[in-house]
Formats: sequence, C-alpha cells, structure tokens
Amino acid sequence: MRSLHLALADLRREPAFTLCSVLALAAVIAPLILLAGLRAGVIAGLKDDLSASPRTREIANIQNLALDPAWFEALAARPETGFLIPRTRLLAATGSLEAAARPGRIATVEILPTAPGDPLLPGIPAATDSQIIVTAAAAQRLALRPGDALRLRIIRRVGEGREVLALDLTTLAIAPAGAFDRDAIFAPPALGRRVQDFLDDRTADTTPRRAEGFRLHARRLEDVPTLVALLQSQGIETRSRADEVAALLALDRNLTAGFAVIALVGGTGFILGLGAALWASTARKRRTLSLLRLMGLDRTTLTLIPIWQGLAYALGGSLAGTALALAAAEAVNRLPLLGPNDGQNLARIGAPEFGAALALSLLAATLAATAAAQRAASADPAEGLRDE
Amino acid sequence: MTEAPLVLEGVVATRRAGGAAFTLTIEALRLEAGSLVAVTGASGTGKSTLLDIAALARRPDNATVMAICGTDAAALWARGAKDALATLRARHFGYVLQTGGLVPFLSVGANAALAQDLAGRRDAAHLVALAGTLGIDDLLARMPASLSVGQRQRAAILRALAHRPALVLADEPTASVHPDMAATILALLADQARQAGAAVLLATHDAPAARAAGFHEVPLQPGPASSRLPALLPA
Repeated sequence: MRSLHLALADLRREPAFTLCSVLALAAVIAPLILLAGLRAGVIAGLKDDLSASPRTREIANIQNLALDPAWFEALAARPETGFLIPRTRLLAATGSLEAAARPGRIATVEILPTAPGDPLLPGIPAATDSQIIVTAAAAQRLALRPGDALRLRIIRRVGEGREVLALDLTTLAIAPAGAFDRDAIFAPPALGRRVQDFLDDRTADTTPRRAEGFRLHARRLEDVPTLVALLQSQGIETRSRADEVAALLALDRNLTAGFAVIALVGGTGFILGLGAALWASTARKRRTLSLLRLMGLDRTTLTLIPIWQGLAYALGGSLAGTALALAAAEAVNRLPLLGPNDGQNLARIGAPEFGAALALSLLAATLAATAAAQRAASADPAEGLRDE
Repeated sequence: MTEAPLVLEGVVATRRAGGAAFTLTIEALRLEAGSLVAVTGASGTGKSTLLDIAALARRPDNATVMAICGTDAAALWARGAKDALATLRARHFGYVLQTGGLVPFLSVGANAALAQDLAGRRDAAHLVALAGTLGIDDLLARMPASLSVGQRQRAAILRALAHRPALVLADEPTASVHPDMAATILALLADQARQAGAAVLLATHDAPAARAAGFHEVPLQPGPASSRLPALLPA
C-alpha cells in the first residue's frame, strides 16, 4: 500500500523525532494501563478472597418454611441459581453418630442434604442412600476415614418413653475443611426425609411433604445479592454474605467509574498531544506533501499518510507503554507493604488491559490524525513546484 | 498520430499577491514530442505562473484550449476533477526543480521508482540504465540530503525521465549550481529528453545557457502588471 510505505519511510527518516513521539505517547499510556491493572488486581484480589470459599455464594433460610416442588423448580430454573436442594426442618435434623469400629465415641451431627454438583463437596462422587460424607470436624472427633462403617441414631420421645431409629451407614468421604465448620453429615435427601418422618411419626403418611428449607448456592458471586433480593421479595428471610458481595460490586463500580474519568482525561491528552504533533509534522512537511501531489498522488493517499503515522505512533506507544506499565506493576507487586499478598498481585496487567489500551490508542490516533489528514489532503501541487 | 504533450491556447491566469494583480496571457503554446522550449524572463514576469498552468497545478481563469497528450485538461478543471488532473500529471509529466525537488524521505532510486509506480510504468531495468547514463548508478540507495547539488539535479533528471513522460517541466534547474555545472546539467537534461522523445518546458533566467543546450527560447513579454507569452506553434 503506497500510503503506508510513504508514511513509514517518512518516520524512518527521522528516527529521533519518531522515538520521542512514541515515548511521549507511552508516557500517557503507561499510567493508564497501570491504573487498569491496579483496578483489575484490587477487584480480582477481593473477588478471589470471597470466592475462595464456596460458602460465600451460599444463601440459607433462617426460619422454617413450607416450600412445594414447584417453588424449587422455578428457583432452580433461574440463571443465578448454581445449586439448590430442599432441606428438612433446621433444628430437628440432628442425630448421634458413632463409628462401628470405635463404640462409645459419639458425635451429635446435623444432617445436611446433598446431591451431585454440591459446591461444598467438589470432586466427591454421588452418595447412595446408605452413604454419607462427614464434615472434617466430625471426622476428627470420631477418627473416621473413608469406608468406615457408622451408625446414626435418632431418638424421639413417645409419652414418657423414647424410641430410637438406628441407621447403618458408610463413610463415603470426608468433606473439605471449609465446607462446614460444625459436626455434620451430608446425606442424600431421602435420609433426611426418613429422619424427619420418624421424628414426626409420619412413617405411614404417604402424602407429599413440603420442604421446610433449602440449601442454595448462587452461580456467581455477583448473583448472590440478586437471589437474596428475590427471596426477600417472597417474604423469605435469609442469611448470606450478600452485603460483602454488594460492597465489592459497589467498589468495582466506583473504581471503574474513577478509572473511566482518569482514562477520559488521559485519552483527551493523548488525542490533543498526538493531534498537535501530527498537525505540526504535516505543516512542516507541507512542501513535500505538495511535491507528492504534484507527482500525481491522489487525495486519499495523501490523507492516509498522517493517519498511518498516527497509528504507527499509537502502536509503538502502546507497546512501550505496556512495557513501562509491566515494569511498574512488577515494582508495585514487590513493594513489601502492598504485595504479593497470599500469592495475589495488587496490579494485574494481562491481555485484556493491553488489548484495550491498543484498541483505544489506535482509535484515538485515528481521531487525532483527522485534522492533519485534512491538511495533507489540501496540499497544493503548485507549492510543490516552488523548490526554494 | 501521437498527440502533442502540451497545447495551450488563449490561456489567461491572474495571480494576486499583496493586493496587486498580475495577469499572464498565453496566446498559443504547442509542444511536440522532443521539442525543447525555454521560457525566459526576469523575476516576476510570470515564468512560475506559466509552469503552474502547464503543470496543471493552477487553474487558469480562462482557456480556449488546454490539452495534455490529447486529454482536455480544461474540462477536468471545470469539473474540479483534481484527482484526474493528478493522474494526468503522474502519467505524462516529469519535474526538475531548482534544487532537485526530490522527496526527502525516499532514496534516489525510490524517488524514481515512485514516479514509475504513479505512472503505472514500473521498469527497474530502465531506471538502472538511465541512472548509469546520468552517472549516478552508485547513488541510487542514497538519500537526497546526502547528495551534492549537482548530484541532486542528476537524480532529479532521473526521477523526471524514469517513467518515460511526454513532457518534462523544469523550473530554474540550474539556479543553485555553479555556472560550469549549469551547462552540463542543461545539456544532460536536453540530451536525455531528446533520447526519450520527451518535450521539455524550461523556465530560466539563464537564456544563454538554455540556448547553448539547444533550447528554443521564448521570452515572456512583460507589460504593466501583466505578461504575455507570444504564440509558439510548430512551423
């Protein structure tokens, strides 16, 4: 392409001027990339902290409810829902767990429903009706290992006496430490229902029961406030970390807005600075442009010369700016007061930051070159004849 | 029959500078292939205006006939078809200016190659052969700024003729060189143009040097605030 060839040949002839222009642009671009990296690093770090525990996405009901299957179907169908399973009454679902190999060592455990895909039990295969997953706390209390035989006893009072439901179970796995802090077992929903039916003496009652609660996990961190608000609108009080998540999202929005303002100011400076440099360059080379017009270059080719030069400056400025920003980010991440913190970098500059900087720089350069392009296009061939 | 490289008849161009107007009238000028014409006159007599008109760089106020190799340039001016005029210049014109008029960021070879590209007549062998004839084949990779004035003028002749134009426009090509060198440059230009079959329209102060190089002299006839180029038509 003739215009590109001429534009680059002109830049090559003045390497010092070209380098200065590129570095001037890099000086504008580098802080913007670093700021973008800091914003990404701060938000990502906080998100990582919150996302480290799947319980952050957990939403629990704090009162007993009466929820029918249609309610569960509707909630499960929402895009914000990551995991949903009915659960039994909150206080009633407890029992005494004893390891068959160590009689006398007993832990009082809560019975939590689980199903495939449970975010608290990643990588653990689905349990059958006689298999349970024991929390780390209960497993330690009973010195359990996967495969150990267990007996779960549920006691109910009948008049002055007591009746016991004894269930022989197997330890399928030990839950990860952060899954649940207290002594508990994760069991298929059928086991929980059987326990509650026994406690309520409904063993002969075949009418479908309504669930008294749920275990709900949002798909993403950002979905937690949405689901909490939805449940609240249905009169369901919940316990979650929605406030923390909402605060993080608000911080993200505020940092993004702040960054946008700084980027706007920086971008304006970029456009004005580059525009002025290209304008001055075009004015300085007006006679050469006129000579090219005299030799027969068309207006389009002349117009494209400063635009290509602007794009070349922007490309060079973006590359140099990214290199500067990466070096600055490395320095920031090595500062003892700032990071690295738990393996997280305070400033994160990746392909998105570089890609955005490059794309916006090229766009701004095209805009900045407009005035110079118009001036180039109006080059007068008669001026080219005056070689004095 | 080959069309004449340049035909101007009844052309009037007025130039305004500092409130004063200056009018150039070209009665009739017809340059056939291979003809060498030197327009002479003192400063301010309209030589530059004449070249501007001939180079399609300035729109005349009036033109009865204005044809470049058979193409009606007056009609293109009337239509404001400036890119079409640029194409005519690229195809049919070469230029030798006071200090060469080379594109400063292109090498000598690239300057000549650009002229060939713009004319649509890329011919590297012809370019190298012509450079050899002009004695600058070892300067093709050099940038114009690194050349002496004499070398630049040779390079300008190379660039002017590399694309086999019908007409070479030369504006004071020897004004910046030593008088001894001036004769050589003009002789070289005239000789190479003749060999290429190109007409040359030369504007110069130096009428004796032009005549010595074989140019037919046409003096501009100055008047009050005007100049007139008398009719120059082939016999």
